[in-house]
Amino acid sequence: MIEYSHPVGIWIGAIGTLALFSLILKENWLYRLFEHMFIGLAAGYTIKAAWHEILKPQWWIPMTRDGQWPWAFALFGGFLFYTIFTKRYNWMSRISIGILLGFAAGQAFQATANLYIPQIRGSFKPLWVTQSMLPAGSQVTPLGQSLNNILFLVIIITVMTYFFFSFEQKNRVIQSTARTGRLMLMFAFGAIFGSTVMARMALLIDRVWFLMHRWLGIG
Amino acid sequence: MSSFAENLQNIDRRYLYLTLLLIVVIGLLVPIPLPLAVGPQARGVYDAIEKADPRKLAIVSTLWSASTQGENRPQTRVIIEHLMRRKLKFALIAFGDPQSTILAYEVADELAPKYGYKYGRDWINFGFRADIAGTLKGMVRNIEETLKQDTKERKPLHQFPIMKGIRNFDDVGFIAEVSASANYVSWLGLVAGSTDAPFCYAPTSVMAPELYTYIDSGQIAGMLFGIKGAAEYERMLGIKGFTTRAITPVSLTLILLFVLIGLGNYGMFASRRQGGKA
Repeated sequence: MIEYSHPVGIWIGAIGTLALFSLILKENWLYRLFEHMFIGLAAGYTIKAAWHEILKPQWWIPMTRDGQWPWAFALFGGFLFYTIFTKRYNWMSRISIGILLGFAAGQAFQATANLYIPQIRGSFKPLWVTQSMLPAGSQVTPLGQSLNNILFLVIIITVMTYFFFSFEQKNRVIQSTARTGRLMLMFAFGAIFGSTVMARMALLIDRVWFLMHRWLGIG
Repeated sequence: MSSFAENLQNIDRRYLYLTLLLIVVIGLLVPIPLPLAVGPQARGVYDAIEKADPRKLAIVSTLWSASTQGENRPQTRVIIEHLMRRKLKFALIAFGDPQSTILAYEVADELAPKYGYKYGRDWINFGFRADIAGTLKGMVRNIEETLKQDTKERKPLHQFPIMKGIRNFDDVGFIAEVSASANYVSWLGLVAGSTDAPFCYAPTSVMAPELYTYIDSGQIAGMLFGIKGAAEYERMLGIKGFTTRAITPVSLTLILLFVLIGLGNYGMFASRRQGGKA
């Protein structure tokens, strides 16, 4: 196996990077070739990993070597999914889908409670914070934390008002509250956009550094 | 003849890419010492590792591939390096993308000789699991029964000294997820109530803003905000790695984008004033 740090691996990485960057100039066959190679490699690697890391140790070996033959029924359950492609037997796929949905629904119920109940609890904040309420070593002053908490309350109320669609928002107070909520959402979207740009730049910088440092030996 | 304002809106994108490339190359070659303050989120991860019980196992879960390694690799590296400095035993596990398991292993394997870490005694690779929800639910009950074997030597987990006394999440003292996806939903939803271990998250910058509500509620103990978080962590650890060097071009490229957005908007408003195409 050629390792990532092997010169051949570095050359393949560099050629692949440049080929994918060539899209900047225009759509071309080299870009498409490497794009397909990348997708093919990722898909092939996923299949290999699924077999070696999951199916073989957790299903095949227990079934064939350790005598746990009931695992064979898992294959039947899996095949039932494919009956969806036949008009006559597609009802059978619902058995497997139903079992899977049941698992997912049970997990989602637990996950939703664990995810959101602490957040609801966390949204109850004191609007007047004293020094004793702050954690030890906190660099925020009580006044600063109070302002933070008031701002938090204003934002949560205004944003929730914006998403309140059960009745027409005719009242002027509700209209202006909802408008403020929308403005707050814009701030959030701005932050997300900024972060997205930073993420993309980081990926570009990583590739440029790879080309400069690992491939050309600069820097 | 088109005006300057109209021209500003029709700059050939290849010139913009070229400018961007030049700025990145210059930023990487000439590191400008820009200020970098360590934020409370990165500090939260650091403190969680500092306070972790050395008798318990730390888990570093990963879901990233080559496509986001610019951010996720240095995040993985600083977390593992800190765990090794504290002599904490840890396990790697990967969900969602099988590339994760080999990439995270590569990082740990590279650092191991520096800190005298031995595979199986001080660290282990649980490998890739496709179904995060089912795996985590199983691990809550029994880690060994759920995962069965490691991914390097493919031996049963009970044969490794590191797994002695480790049964389930009660025996886990720290959890970190380095991810390009929203795996935190499964960790917080299915594991959080079953362990006292602090949960830290190292997402790509794209995802980081949505995590603040979980930090605010105390569900996430700390976060590494993309490449910036990794750079802050390198500063806390006193090392100068890739992100310390990369943070200069990150800042420069963001400044370039500010300028370009400003110029584009100026061009639009100016040409509107002139009655041209906006």
